[in-house]
Amino acid sequence: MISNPVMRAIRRGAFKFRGPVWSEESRKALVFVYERLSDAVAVAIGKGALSFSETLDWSRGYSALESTFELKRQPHLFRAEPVVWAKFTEPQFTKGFAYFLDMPAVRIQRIRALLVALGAGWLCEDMCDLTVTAEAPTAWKRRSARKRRIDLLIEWKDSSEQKNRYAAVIEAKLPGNRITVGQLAAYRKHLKDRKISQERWLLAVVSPRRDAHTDKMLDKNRDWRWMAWRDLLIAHERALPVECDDDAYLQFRRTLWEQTG
Amino acid sequence: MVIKLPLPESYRAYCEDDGVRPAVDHILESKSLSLYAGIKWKHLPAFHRAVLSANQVRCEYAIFQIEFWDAVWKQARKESDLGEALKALPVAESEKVWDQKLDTNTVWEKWWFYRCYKFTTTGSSFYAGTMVARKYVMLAIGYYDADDVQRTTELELGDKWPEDDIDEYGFAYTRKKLAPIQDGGIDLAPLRKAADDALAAIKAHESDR
Repeated sequence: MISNPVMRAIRRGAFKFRGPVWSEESRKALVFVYERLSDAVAVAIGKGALSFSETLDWSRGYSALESTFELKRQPHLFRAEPVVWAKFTEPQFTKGFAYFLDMPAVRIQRIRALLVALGAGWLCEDMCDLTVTAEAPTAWKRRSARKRRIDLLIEWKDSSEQKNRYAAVIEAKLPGNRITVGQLAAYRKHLKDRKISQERWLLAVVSPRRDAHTDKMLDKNRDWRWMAWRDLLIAHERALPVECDDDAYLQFRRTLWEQTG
Repeated sequence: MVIKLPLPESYRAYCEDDGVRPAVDHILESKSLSLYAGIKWKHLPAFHRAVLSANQVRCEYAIFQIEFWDAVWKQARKESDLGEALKALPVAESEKVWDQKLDTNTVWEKWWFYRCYKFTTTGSSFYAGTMVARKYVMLAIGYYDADDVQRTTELELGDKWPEDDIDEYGFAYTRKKLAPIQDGGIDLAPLRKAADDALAAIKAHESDR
């Protein structure tokens, strides 16, 4: 026979059990928990201890998507139609990128937006004599009859008396393509040979996602930074002034978005 | 008469806003979503909330599928008078026989929700499904005898179920144009009629046996 103050209180009806009242934050957290539904949670849901008493406020959710993906920007790559009739290769994309970056009237703004998106805004405050080259040839590959080629090479000078030289090397990888051994070191050497000092260059690998192979290559080349294509495209959307954009470039970026997922 | 079932606000935005759709798809497809380059501390809450919103779209879609199914098939079953002999299969068994899971992500990715029923007298069974795509919805029905041989082709399903839309597994589908998603909602009237016709056809077939 149970006889203690708590049980006596229950018998008297002093305590009435109520299911927990979930705060707004807890309800939101539950959506995440749902993804990793454990048995304990399943049991709790079955017993009705966990339940959603009201729906989430979509207007807050919408504005979060809007700010994270820069959806207020008009135009936006998401609202452009992608090219769906072709699957482009790596050289086609890099040549396309070079073409759109190298538009005379907006060259500086577009290149600056790309470098800012790559996290190298500090490099491009003072830019003169800009050149953009896709598939830029480097030194001969050892024991091979062909040259290595940098996917996208951007070079410029500053306006100081010394005319300091700068460069950005972007190694662009599409799904299924890998960084080859020696490739990153060769590109670094190419910049050194061109008398560009280390504090004035940006070395970046852009690919759909990181895998063990990319990790290994980047471990050996710590001065290279990595970025996912889609993160780069959104950051670029944020950095590019709308007056420097156009429909063809938007369609190109949207196509790149679709084919690098 | 138009009986309209409104889409959840979140899924409606996904369907109608070309900006929202790739954003939600990107978050839901990412196995490990990293913060975007240059994100500032003050933008971190919005980033997490964006992840939540993408999950909200998916979860509310899955819940809506059940509401839609109830509004069409549950209602039709109530009115069809198929009797006590008809038993609903439990979720786990339904997943096994239809061969599609009913978890949130599978319903989101496959677009289909369904439930299975069995006649305890004859051993035959039927599967009733709903599909919600961005622009239209469809119903599906599959009818099988006790030996699991499809009998859907023997049903007189009516004009809302084109005969040439019966697939190799014995499922009949309503026409795409029967119920387009318009003004953020679904007109249930033609779908209820299609579901009534299907269950009436099954009832007739069962009583002939």
